[in-house]
Amino acid sequence: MRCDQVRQTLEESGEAYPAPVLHHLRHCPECAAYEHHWRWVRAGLLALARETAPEPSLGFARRLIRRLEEGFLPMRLVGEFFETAGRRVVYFTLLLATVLLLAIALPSSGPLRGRPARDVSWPQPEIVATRDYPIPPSELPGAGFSLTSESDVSGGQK
Amino acid sequence: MSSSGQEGQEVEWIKGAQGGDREAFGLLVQQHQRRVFSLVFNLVRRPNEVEDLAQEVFIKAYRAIRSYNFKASFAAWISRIAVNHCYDFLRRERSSKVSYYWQISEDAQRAIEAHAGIKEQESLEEQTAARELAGRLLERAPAEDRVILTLREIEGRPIEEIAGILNLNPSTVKVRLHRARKRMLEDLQRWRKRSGHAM
Ligand SMILES: [Zn+2]
Repeated sequence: MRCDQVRQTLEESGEAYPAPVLHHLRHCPECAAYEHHWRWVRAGLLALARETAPEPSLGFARRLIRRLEEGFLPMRLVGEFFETAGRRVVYFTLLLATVLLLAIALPSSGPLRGRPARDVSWPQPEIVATRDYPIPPSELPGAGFSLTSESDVSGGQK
Repeated sequence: MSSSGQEGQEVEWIKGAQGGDREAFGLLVQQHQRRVFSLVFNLVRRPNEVEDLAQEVFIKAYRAIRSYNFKASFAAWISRIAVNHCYDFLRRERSSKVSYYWQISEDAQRAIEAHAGIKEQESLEEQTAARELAGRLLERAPAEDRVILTLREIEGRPIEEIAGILNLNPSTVKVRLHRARKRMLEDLQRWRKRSGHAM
């Protein structure tokens, strides 16, 4: 048996330990010390278990109902309420800050954004020229701003 | 009254309380107050705080009673509220203290030093010393360990019931219990080393 198994078994088996545990305890000083300490602690816990709790004072339930009727909330519960509400405010602020940061940091295009209007307005002349488009590039609006030279365009049509 | 008659009565009270009948809730309080007082006392070990904490447990129960769905017994449901409330209390108490010194009476120290091994039929002196020792160790333990050790070692509740109260698997309860005991004994060992006590 491993030391950890021995310790767990002796914790769960009361006073009468199984034979393998007893055998291990005879040969392992660490587990023997653990068992010895556990005996003291268990005896103490049993003594604590024998102590009796205070009785509810006379009329405890009646007083409680009266307080519920008055809408009374003990200070500790008020504190807990604000603690929970405060935590929610903090989470909401963090979320809002994250959204704002993302809005600032993300590029203006990409999978999270729509394409900017510039990209979808008109086909660019050089693209049209290389794709056998029925409208000649010279008739398209903005043809004068072509990034490719005349020779490049005609070369593409050959 | 037979136990099924009592259960039927309790169901009526619960339904009444869920419908806003405070008198019906008062009857539930009367039925469960001793159990709650005992659990709260065992968990926090401060006689002066028990009534206030128990009152808070019942107020929380009243505010949450509509969520009770009759799947677990009402006793288990209210025990869960009490355990959670005491856990929060213990955690706050623990974090509000700067440090935990070992304070154990000289009598208890002498008893522990004098008796190498505690026997099944220990003397009153040994019992008192062991009680003080266990009380100190529980006080110093993290709230999580304190709750699970109290439910098992002091309240003597079965593993399955503890699992239900803490919303854990029974196997997780066993692992946490072992860890809690181990930490407690390590703390004891540290104290012994620091103060050079024999046990
Ligand atoms: Zn060992």
